[in-house]
This record gives sequence, C-alpha cells and structure tokens, in this order.
Amino acid sequence: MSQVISSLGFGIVTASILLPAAVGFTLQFSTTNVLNIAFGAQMTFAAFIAYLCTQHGVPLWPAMVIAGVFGALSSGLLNRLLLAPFQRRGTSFFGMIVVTIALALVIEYVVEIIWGPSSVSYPLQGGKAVHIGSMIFSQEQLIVIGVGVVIALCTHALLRYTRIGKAMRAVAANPALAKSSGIRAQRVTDFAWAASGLMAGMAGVMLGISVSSVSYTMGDTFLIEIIAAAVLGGVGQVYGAMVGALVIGVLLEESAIVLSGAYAPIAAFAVLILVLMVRPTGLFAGTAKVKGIA
Amino acid sequence: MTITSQQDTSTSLTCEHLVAGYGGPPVIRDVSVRVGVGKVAVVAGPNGAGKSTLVKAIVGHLSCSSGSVSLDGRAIGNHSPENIARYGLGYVPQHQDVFDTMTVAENLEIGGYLLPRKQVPGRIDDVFSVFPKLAMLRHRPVGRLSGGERKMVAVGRVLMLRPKVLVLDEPTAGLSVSLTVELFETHIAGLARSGVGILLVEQKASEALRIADWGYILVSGEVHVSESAADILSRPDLGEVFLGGSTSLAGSSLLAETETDEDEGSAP
Repeated sequence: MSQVISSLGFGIVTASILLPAAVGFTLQFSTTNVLNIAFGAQMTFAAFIAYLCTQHGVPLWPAMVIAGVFGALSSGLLNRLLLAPFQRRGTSFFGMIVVTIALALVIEYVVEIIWGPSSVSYPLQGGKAVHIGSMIFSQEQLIVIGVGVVIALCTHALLRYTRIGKAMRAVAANPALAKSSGIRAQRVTDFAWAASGLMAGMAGVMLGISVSSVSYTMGDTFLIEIIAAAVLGGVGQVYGAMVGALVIGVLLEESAIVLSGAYAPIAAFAVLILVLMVRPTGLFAGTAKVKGIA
Repeated sequence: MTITSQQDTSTSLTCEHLVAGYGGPPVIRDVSVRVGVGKVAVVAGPNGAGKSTLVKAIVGHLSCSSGSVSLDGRAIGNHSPENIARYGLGYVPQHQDVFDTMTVAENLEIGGYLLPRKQVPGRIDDVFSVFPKLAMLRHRPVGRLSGGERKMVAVGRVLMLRPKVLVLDEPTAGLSVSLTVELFETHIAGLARSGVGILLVEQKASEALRIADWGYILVSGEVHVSESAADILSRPDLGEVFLGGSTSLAGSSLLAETETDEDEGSAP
C-alpha cells in the first residue's frame, strides 16, 4: 500500500509536467487545427536553452522562465511564419502533420548539432526531502508540482475571464464566425501558439528536472504521453487535457509497481484504449460534436 | 434581365455585377443587388441558385473575381471579414451561426468584441430586451439550446455592434412556422424600422416578402427577377415556382436550368 502511495507522488510529478504539455498541445490543435508533432521537439529545444543559461551561471528557476519565454516567442513565430502560410495555401490536415514531423526532425538535429548527442543535466540542489505521508518529494519536485498547478489555474483564468482567452475559444469553436465578429484570427492564433510555446518551454525544463537528464530525443518519447493525455481528455478540450494529464501521469507511475520500468507505459495506454472503446470522443467531449477549447 | 434600381435613393449596401465561385466556373454571374437604409430586400431562389455564394462574397468569406460591393459608399469588395464587420455589416450565416462551446452571454460578448469594454454590458442588456428569453439562458452553453433559441443568439450576436446592414442567410431554416413569423414580423421588421438595412436570403420566401420592400429571384447564379416585394407576391407564376410550393416545381423551365448547378454547397 505504501508503495502505491509513494508511486502516487511520482505520478503527481509526472502529471504536473504532462499538464502544461497536454494543454499547450491542445491549444495549438483547437485554435489552428494543427496536430503538432513538433511539440516534443519544442520542449527539447527550450530545455536546452535553460541548460545553456545554467551553464552561464543563471540559477535554474530563472533559466526555466527564460526557456518559457524562448518557447513562447519561437512558437508564435513558427505559427506566423511557417504554419499559417502553409494553411493559407490550403495544405490539408495531413499535410500539416507531415510539415510538423519535418519540423520536429529539423529542431532535434539542430539541437544535436549545437549540444551534441549525449545527454546533459541541470545543476540540481536536491535539498531537504519533504515527506507527505509515505510520499517523498525533493524540493525541485515540489516546485515542479507548483508550476503545474499555477499553469492550470492561469489557463483557466485566461480562457474564462480574459478578452483574448474568449477570443481564442471563439476562434477554436468557429473561425469564420469569429472573423465576422471582427476578431483578427491570425493575431489570436499567434497568441495561442505563443501561450502554448510558453507551456512547452516550461514543461521541457520540468521534464529535464524530473528525469535529471536532458537529451535531444527527450521530447519524442514524451510526445506519445502528451498525445495520450490529450486524446483521453477529448481532443481539443483543454479541461479534458488537464484531467487526461493527471490520469495518464499517475497511471504511468503506478503501473511501474507491477511492471518493470520499461514496460510501465503499457498500462497507461491500455487504459487509454479502454476509455476510447467506451467513449470514442474521450472523457470530456460530451455529446457536442463541435470542436472547441472548453 | 436588367436591374431596375429601388425607388429609394439612399442605399446602404450595393453589389454590382458580382462574379464569384469556388475556383471552378463562377457560381454567381453578374449579380447586382441593393439594400436601402431601413429597407428589407429578399433574395429568393431554388437550391443551388447561388444564394449562399452571393452572401459569402458580400461578407468577405469568398473572393469576388469581378464586380463591386459597397457599404454606405465605401468599397468593401474583397476586404477581409474582420474589416467588413468593422465597417458595420453584420452577418448571420445559415449554418454554424453561433459559438456552440460558449455560453449565451459569451456569444454576445464576442459579438461586441470591437466595442469599448465598458459598453459591452449595456449592449448585452439591449439584446436581452429584444430577446427577453435569452436573459434567462445567459449562462447556458449555446450548444444545449433549441434551434429557435440558437437563432436568437445568432441574431443577438450581430446586433451587439449595431450594424448598418444585416445580412441573414436563411435564418428560418429549421424554425417552426410561428417562430418564423415572429422572427420576421417582430424582429426583422423592427430592426428595419430602426434604420438597419436588411438583406434576407430565403429559399421559401413568401413569408419574407411580406415584410420586404424589394425582392430578387436568383436562378442559376443570375438575377432573373428584380421587382418590388408586393409585385412578386402578386405574380402567380413566381409564387408557384419560387416562393414555397416545392412540389409544384417540376415542369418549370427556370428550374430545369437550376438542376445543372448544384455546386453551391461545396464551399470550403
């Protein structure tokens, strides 16, 4: 039993990383209809930017913020300069997936060229471990959890209470009608991609902290888990992605109790498949067939 | 057939010699329509006549290959939908006319996106005074409303900006007869009286023509009839063919032309 609870601790940490990633991935998909395979690579690049900062004496947490800002700017520009022009020319949904696959490879090889193929790690303090029941957290892990919670709350506030957030939901639900309401859809999707890039950047650093290593392929494996969380919640549903992140994160770590580490993802994906068999639209899509954020 | 101008000289929306389509042969050819200030103009015609294509070309969702559109004297042809909304042209599409995932109040807020923030609550109250039922539903997601309620949200959303001209694409599709009458006789006629020019596209147009000043009948992408609404209603030949009685369409020579033109629904 105590093993179940201590794994729950790891699960919460994993879920806290998965949450901003799955939310960012979902924001990109719902506002622009791009299933962004390069999301993991965006995380990786930002994680290395944070590593670069720490190499130059910047403390880890400010470095994470810098990585987030880098992620936001690069992601916004990516949408404006690369993806939006493709879509304006009528590139199909699958064409866009191929574009993002190519982009993922380019980003990864650029990272490999700059930082090399071997993994690096952040200078972690460790510090005094914190016991909550039989769950043990390092101070860094607690901060990672805190960042995950803050991102979830900020996303909620953004989408519910701000003008730009509501515009994002309007563009996601019905882009043509949003334009006819006077919303400059291109600016809104640029903002959505910047916000999701911020989340990708933060998640990349959080992942690097959590697994104590940063390598140029780290985003690839994680992408599968992001997609699992996003699909479990209901594709395009931000709150669904949050719940999906929690479920997949905890399941990944809990299943490591019975299955040895390398096989742990099997349980999480078995649950994903079971849920989709019962509810093909995911947990949160409900009866509405419309695409939208909330 | 040549277009005789409406008696009223103060025109809000003018489309002249519009040609538009979806990349292939044009769906509408040389279409000219006008809406006067505070007037209701109806565009009728069978399925596939190009009514929705005309509307999309006017509101900027489809580019026109030639012709001109002007709103209050300003050329708006081929401007972006975002700008056309700013100039004061409101558009209620036939389908997907609301934001399903958002609440009634949020739909109206998006309708008032261009307004100074402080004006939005007051305008929402104005819309609620036009459609009192919406006030009770304000926190309900629009995806869970009935067809009539959704249409109120759709019309309410465009009213937020107090448009000079309102373009409605088959607003009564799916509505009951009593709701149709209410929409036309209470709301649309009321809007026209307050000075809004209205371009109303309807397949079954006899109800619409009763509140209209002018009517156009579009067949195979061209304007075949442009007459006062009263004249169209009094012509038995048109009444049979274009204004409702769908079973009596067979044998019409005009309809035979329309059957070759069914690409209207293939909008991207």
